[in-house]
Amino acid sequence: MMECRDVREMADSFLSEQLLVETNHELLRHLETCPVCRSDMAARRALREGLRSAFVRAEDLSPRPEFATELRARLRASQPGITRRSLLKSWWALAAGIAGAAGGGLFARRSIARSHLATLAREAAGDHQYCAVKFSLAERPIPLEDAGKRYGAFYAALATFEAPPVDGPLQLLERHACVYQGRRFGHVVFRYRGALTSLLVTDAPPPPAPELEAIDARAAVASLPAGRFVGFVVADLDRQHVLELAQALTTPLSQHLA
Amino acid sequence: MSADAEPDRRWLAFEAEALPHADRLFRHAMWLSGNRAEAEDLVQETMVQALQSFHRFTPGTNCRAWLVTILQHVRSNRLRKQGRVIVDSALEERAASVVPFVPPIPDRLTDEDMLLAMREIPAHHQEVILLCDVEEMTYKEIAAALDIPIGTVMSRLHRGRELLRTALARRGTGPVAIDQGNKAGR
Repeated sequence: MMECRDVREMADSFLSEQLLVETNHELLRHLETCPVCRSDMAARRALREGLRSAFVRAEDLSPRPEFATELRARLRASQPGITRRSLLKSWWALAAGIAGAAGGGLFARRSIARSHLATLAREAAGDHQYCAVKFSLAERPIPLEDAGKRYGAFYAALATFEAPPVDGPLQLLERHACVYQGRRFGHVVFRYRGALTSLLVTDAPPPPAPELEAIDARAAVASLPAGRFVGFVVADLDRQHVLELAQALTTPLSQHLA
Repeated sequence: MSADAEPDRRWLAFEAEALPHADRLFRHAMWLSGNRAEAEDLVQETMVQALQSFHRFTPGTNCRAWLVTILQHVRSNRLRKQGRVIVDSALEERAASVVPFVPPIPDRLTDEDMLLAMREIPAHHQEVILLCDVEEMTYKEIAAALDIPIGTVMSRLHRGRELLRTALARRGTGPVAIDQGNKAGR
């Protein structure tokens, strides 16, 4: 049986997800019965999150707005084979990212929201590919209930989400929380119309409505609002079927996670 | 695909995977160097190196961690060339080991408290806390980025957090009595 002293020693490794699964479970069992350790753990978590927020918000640490242009010029000089068209496309992505960090105007914010959603969609497609299809994520997935205790209640809520009847056979296969490229997802795996299909929810602002994501991925990806979060449906299916599934899941999922 | 299209293909992949991290990378460099010109130069060199070696990046792994690792190596090489001493580990360990008591974390803290407290602890403890808590890198990734054993990462994190809590406690509990106009200085 784990004691308070053990928990304190392992607390930071626990929060960094560096413990073995068995040790993790032992520690979680202790937390369920020990309010003092629970409170200490919450304070440590708050400190980490506070530090991260302070770092990301600090104006002193933000780049100059024109840095994006200069960085692009330097990268272009280092790669003479790049054509003007691809450079123009990338310039907009970089400029929007840095303008957003500097609190730019409405256009920039919309560009960023779109660009950010596309980045998240690529991560969701990657998670689907490396978790649901290949089982080869760098980190082992953890139960949604455990993720709920550590990272936010919506993970635990996803553990009890029941998909509504949809057009086509939908069979639940697996639920867990997993990490791809540093991004954590609540992940529900279905078999839909005979294909492995992922519903992924992550802690980022929701889009206004379900929409297909125009990204270069093997599978079709649709984003959807999931309460205060963003969700994705990813599957090796016809794009229209993926969009329709995202549309069917939007309302029940948003209500469930509210 | 023709050989002529290869630079474009690599650039577009780099744009999708790596360029969105430029802002965070700059913040990291700015924190480490404390000098805007140096930070910009560091990020530019990091991105140029990353683009040149982008074929070595494994899709599905953490791109930000990969970029931060390159940045750390670029910075480390520069410091070595300049003959600047990076760390006295023994001194740090001694300094850290004399922390007699780890106080509770104050209830209310501003962003400024956090950053000022971080500045009060030794640079190598700042570095690992930054990589772990802010960049969310694994111990293994941090060890690779800093070229140190995982055990050293863990001990520096443990002691660094004790020192950080001590520094934060000095800033008081309850309403924080820090002038909001103060900026995180060096």
